[in-house]
Amino acid sequence: MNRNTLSPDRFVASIPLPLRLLGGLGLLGLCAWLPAMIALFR
Amino acid sequence: MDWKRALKQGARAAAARAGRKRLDATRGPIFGWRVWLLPIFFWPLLLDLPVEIIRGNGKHLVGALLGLGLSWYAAALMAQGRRRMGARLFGVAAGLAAGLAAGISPPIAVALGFGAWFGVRLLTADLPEAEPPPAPEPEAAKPDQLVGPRGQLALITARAPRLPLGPLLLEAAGAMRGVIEDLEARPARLHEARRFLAVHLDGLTRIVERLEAGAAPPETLPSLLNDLAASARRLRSELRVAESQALDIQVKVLAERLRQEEA
Repeated sequence: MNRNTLSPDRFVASIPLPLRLLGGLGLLGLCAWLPAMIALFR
Repeated sequence: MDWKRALKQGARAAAARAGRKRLDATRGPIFGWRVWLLPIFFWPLLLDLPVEIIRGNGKHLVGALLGLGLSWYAAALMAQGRRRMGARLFGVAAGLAAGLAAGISPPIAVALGFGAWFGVRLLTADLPEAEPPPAPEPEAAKPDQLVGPRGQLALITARAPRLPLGPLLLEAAGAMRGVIEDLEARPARLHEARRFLAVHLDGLTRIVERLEAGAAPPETLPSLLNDLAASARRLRSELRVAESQALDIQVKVLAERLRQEEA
């Protein structure tokens, strides 16, 4: 199997830009903003 | 038609060139919203800080502080173009904030850290990565400024015995070798001996070349050679005096610091 096809860079680059931005914002909301809100309202 | 096809190809090539130019122009530090947006995801931690201070909850306070500080540092790294390092650091910040400030169980906090890292990678994947800073050149790679003078001295010593006034030439060359040896031991003083290297040593080399070519030595040459030897010895003693003075200053400074620390 070609090693390059497994590279995370290639995988990320293969996603269209709008989807990438949306996914990035969504993941950051889930993994950074949500725990911070939990810390505030706990 | 052929000319139409050629016109189209030309237009396409020009567009490609313009595209490459645009790409070059975007290289360099990044101060875009995608970088500075990242710490803003942690704004609730900013409000959480006073709450934790009032509650006196150390662990949560440390988590909030680490989350804010590391995420800001990660954004600063990314603004310098160190995209991958910044993404990793932001993941660490998110994991620590989740684990310490929000009190989420460690395995889930680690997973959230990885999620944040991947989120940053997705968000900033098309931003250019800065070249890593070049490694400092090793000391040995520096050009040795004494190679030339050493070669000249070797030439003089090899040729002098066959020439008129050979012993005087050898004496001057010996005195100059002393200076070169001193400079090898203390390369920092090289600038003080630049004139000596440029004028005296070069002069002696030319004298040797002329004598070798068959020139008759003028009457003033012996005294000149004596002067050259004396000048080299003087320079050597001056270099030693300068070293001694530097040591003297160092001793005084150290003694003064010691005295202040004891007081």
